[in-house]
Amino acid sequence: MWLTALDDAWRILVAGLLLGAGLPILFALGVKSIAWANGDLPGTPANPLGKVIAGVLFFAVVAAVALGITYIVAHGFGYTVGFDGLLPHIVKR
Amino acid sequence: MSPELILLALVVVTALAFDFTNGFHDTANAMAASIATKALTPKMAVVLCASLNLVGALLSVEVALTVTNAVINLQNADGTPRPEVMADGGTKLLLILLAGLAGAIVWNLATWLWGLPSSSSHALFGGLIGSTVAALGWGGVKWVGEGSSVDGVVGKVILPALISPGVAMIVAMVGTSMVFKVAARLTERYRTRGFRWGQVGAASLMSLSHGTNDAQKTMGVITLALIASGQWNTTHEVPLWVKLACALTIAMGTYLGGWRIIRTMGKGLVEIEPPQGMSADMASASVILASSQLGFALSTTHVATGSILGSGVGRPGAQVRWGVAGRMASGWLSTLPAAAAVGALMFLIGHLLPAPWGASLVFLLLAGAGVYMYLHSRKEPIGSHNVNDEWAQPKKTKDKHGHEVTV
Repeated sequence: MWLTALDDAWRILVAGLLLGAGLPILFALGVKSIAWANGDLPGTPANPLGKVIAGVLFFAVVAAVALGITYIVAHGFGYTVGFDGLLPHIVKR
Repeated sequence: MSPELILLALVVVTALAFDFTNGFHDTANAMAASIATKALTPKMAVVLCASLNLVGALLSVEVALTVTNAVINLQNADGTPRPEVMADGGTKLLLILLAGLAGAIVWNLATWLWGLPSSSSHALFGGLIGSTVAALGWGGVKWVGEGSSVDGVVGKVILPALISPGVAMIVAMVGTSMVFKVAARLTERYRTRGFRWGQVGAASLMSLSHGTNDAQKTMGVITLALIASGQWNTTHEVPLWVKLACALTIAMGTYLGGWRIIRTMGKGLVEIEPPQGMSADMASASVILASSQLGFALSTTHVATGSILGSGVGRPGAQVRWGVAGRMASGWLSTLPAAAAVGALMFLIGHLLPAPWGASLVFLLLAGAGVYMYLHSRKEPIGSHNVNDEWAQPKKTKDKHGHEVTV
């Protein structure tokens, strides 16, 4: 049991670092890109490319949150989200 | 009304009361950071959190009927009550549930009064363990899981309590320090407004997930009581009224807010800036969902506290009040034994008198304790108006005898 718990713990840590630290970083980069697009970064001229980059980054974050909601709702109905292939899909638990 | 029905009614009402305390105790987990950073006003935060809890509770159709099986031996694997607690028409089982719930509520109210976030599931498990030991002896408790399954008191309570705050803390620490590196050159406007949406999104995820998980526990306990008294006979479904009642009760509790706890988490541990609040909430949401995927039973409270602490460690220049964190940690350690002690005492008191009278006495004692703690809380009320006030550092002054005291 101890080993299983430790095994769970490091899996949660890895998933937590990927999503729980990764998404805030993407989000922060998105905010920074907007500032770049608006010319609000000191010493850097405004560049519309910032908007495009921000769009991509924010889309990634929103997609992750949407996946989270799908996951919670699916669990409530006795399903879970599987990641066997490239795209996530809903499977019976 | 027959004595059995009175007993059942008392169990149902007490279970809903627990559900209510579960709601206001845990508003802080999802919303403390958003309230502290002013991403949401206090009122907006509780409305959003309560609505999502309601939706979450109604969405979960999977039956959590075997909730007590994690730590005690009252039910068979399929959720039906074991014959030894059903001997006298189920009254013993009902009294065990009532006393256990009473222990959990008393501890939830006490920690709320002290402004300490503590796990409602650990309080519920603690109360039930106490009343079960009082009724059946130590053999009624499941200490460890069989084989490699992470189960029993050790697997479902102690290990998660040791592991989850640390994991959440590391995740939030890494996230926060990276986010502040990225945001270093941003002006104040981007820092405060830009990060709001990310934070509200993560807080919403946590609220929804709380509704699906926590309301189910009370649904399971009520349904078990109904089965024990012969009012319900399937273990594949929860009665619709039970589901509606639990969902509404947890949402009302959440709406009430538990401001004392929100204040400790949002202002007491560390001053929270918007980028940091977002990192803390996203760390909590990810850790909670990842462990739910693995079936690892951690407590939202421990995760949320660990994340806020970690975000304080990760933000350059932030001052973490480790004294407050230490007080919380001692609260976590006491939750299970304290709720168990009250649960056991309640069972012994309730057992002195014939079934409905003993149960009524337990119920009256619980109500008395609740009223007492509520009145005590009014001496220094905390609500949406003062939840975000500056956190006063303890001051050393001299009392009237000239001794140094900390105020």
